[in-house]
Amino acid sequence: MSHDKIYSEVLLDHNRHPRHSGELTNPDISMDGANPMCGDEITMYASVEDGTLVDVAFRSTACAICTASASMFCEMAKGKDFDHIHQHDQLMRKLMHGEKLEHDERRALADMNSLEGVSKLPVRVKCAMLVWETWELMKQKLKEINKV
Amino acid sequence: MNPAELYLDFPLLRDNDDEERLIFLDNAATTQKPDTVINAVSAYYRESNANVHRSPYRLGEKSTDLYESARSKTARFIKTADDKEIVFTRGVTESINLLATILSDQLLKPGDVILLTEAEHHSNIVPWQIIAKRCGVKLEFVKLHGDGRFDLSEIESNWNPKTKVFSFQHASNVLGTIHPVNELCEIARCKGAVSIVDGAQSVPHFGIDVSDMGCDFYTFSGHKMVGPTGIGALYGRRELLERFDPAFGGGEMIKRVSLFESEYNDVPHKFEAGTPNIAGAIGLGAAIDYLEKLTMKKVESMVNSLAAYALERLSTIEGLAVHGPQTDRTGAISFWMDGIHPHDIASLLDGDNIAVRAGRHCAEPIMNWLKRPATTRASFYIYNIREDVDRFIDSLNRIRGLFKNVS
Repeated sequence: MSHDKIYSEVLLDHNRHPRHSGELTNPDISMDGANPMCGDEITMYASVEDGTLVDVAFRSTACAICTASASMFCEMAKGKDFDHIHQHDQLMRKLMHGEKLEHDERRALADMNSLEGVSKLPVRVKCAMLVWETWELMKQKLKEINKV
Repeated sequence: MNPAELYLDFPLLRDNDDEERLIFLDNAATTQKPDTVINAVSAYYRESNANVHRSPYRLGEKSTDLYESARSKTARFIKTADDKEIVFTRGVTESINLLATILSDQLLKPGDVILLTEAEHHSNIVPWQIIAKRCGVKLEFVKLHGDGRFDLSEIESNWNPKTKVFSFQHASNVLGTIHPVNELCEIARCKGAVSIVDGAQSVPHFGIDVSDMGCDFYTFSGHKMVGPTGIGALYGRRELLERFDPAFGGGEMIKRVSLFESEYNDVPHKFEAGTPNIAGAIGLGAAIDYLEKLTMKKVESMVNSLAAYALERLSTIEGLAVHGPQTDRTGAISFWMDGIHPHDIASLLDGDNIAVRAGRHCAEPIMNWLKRPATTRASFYIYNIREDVDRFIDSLNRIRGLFKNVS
């Protein structure tokens, strides 16, 4: 069974041309995330204000799935409040568990739908989730420094 | 035994219902097992299971004979005349941890140096880091040069007189490089250091002669040479095995025990506390039988010619760089493809039923030396055939196309 379909054009496009790739000039916070077993590494940069992710960017040395997922995260999250991001977090986890999604949930996921095939590769789910796990760490640190 | 179709001896490769035959190219991590090995382990449990060296009945004699004859086979396989120089362990990792513990307790003093190399697998780095922290010894590293080799004269000129242990690999699990072990052991001997050779990637591939090599310790793992997991061997020069006290206590390793003191058993039993992996040792013996029937000369030439063919075909793929030497190498080939991460390559190959390793290969320092976050590694063994290389190359070309088509 070929896995080529998992690497859809949308996914490969986000890998080749990652959105919001780079650093922010004066971020409020930055956070490293890594999958030590496979070597994926990302750094996220963010500016926040009143529970909103005003700006976000990332750098990655990572596989296509990890990079594409980070790119899709930034596209979805920039300018949005934390609740909006949290809803997408739930949907993303459902997608990775291979759970059935409703029509409006599909619509909300937008390009992230292209990561659906990753759920068929259990060892690679952590690649798609790295940006989300890093975002979790970032939120914890934001709480510690009273930014949220 | 038809060398062109050895995979037919391996049920996992022979008896699967997959549309396309599984092409297993992760042999540097572990190898598949032939019927003879699986049957030997199973027959032991069905027909001969009893504890060894303690059971006063015929079944116990039978199991002891089988266990000790596996030791003799292992000794003969790496060319020591003395069976008592073979200690069964779980494999290289346990052997090196055992040596690190013994040597730190009984030989090393604060300020002493342990010399390792930049090419080592984590199993020949981390045990030494643990004892370095515990007893104040220092670690130093031999540098890698060119396509992944050591500079012997540099080792001699940089030699720290406080070096008491020199522990190094025979062959690299990442680059496939075969190192000049005789010369490395000679340097250690002249400088008065204990030499330890990690044979995990060499013993499966060519004939080993520990007597000719002149090493103090040599260790390898059974599962990388068609044997079971959880069994391996540590060769130690008799004089050294006798000089050191054991690290683990329990049954089998003692002659006499009172409440406050014990008299240890003779070598090698004093290093084999508790009921050993009897089935594993017997399986290892069967693996040795399998390889010896083929002959190690044949094993070497089969894997060499496959690796040479793979290297030739890999060189035709645009944007692909092989890490490591072209010759004097094992069947482990690590490579990098521009613009495609190793994990994506491995997943896509998996979709074509081709199993390769991707990542850091438990050798992170070598990744830093290569300046790569990870590599893809295809490692060949006796049951691989030229058609496997062809399918592997076809898949790589298709993957290249898949990533290239995104503008």
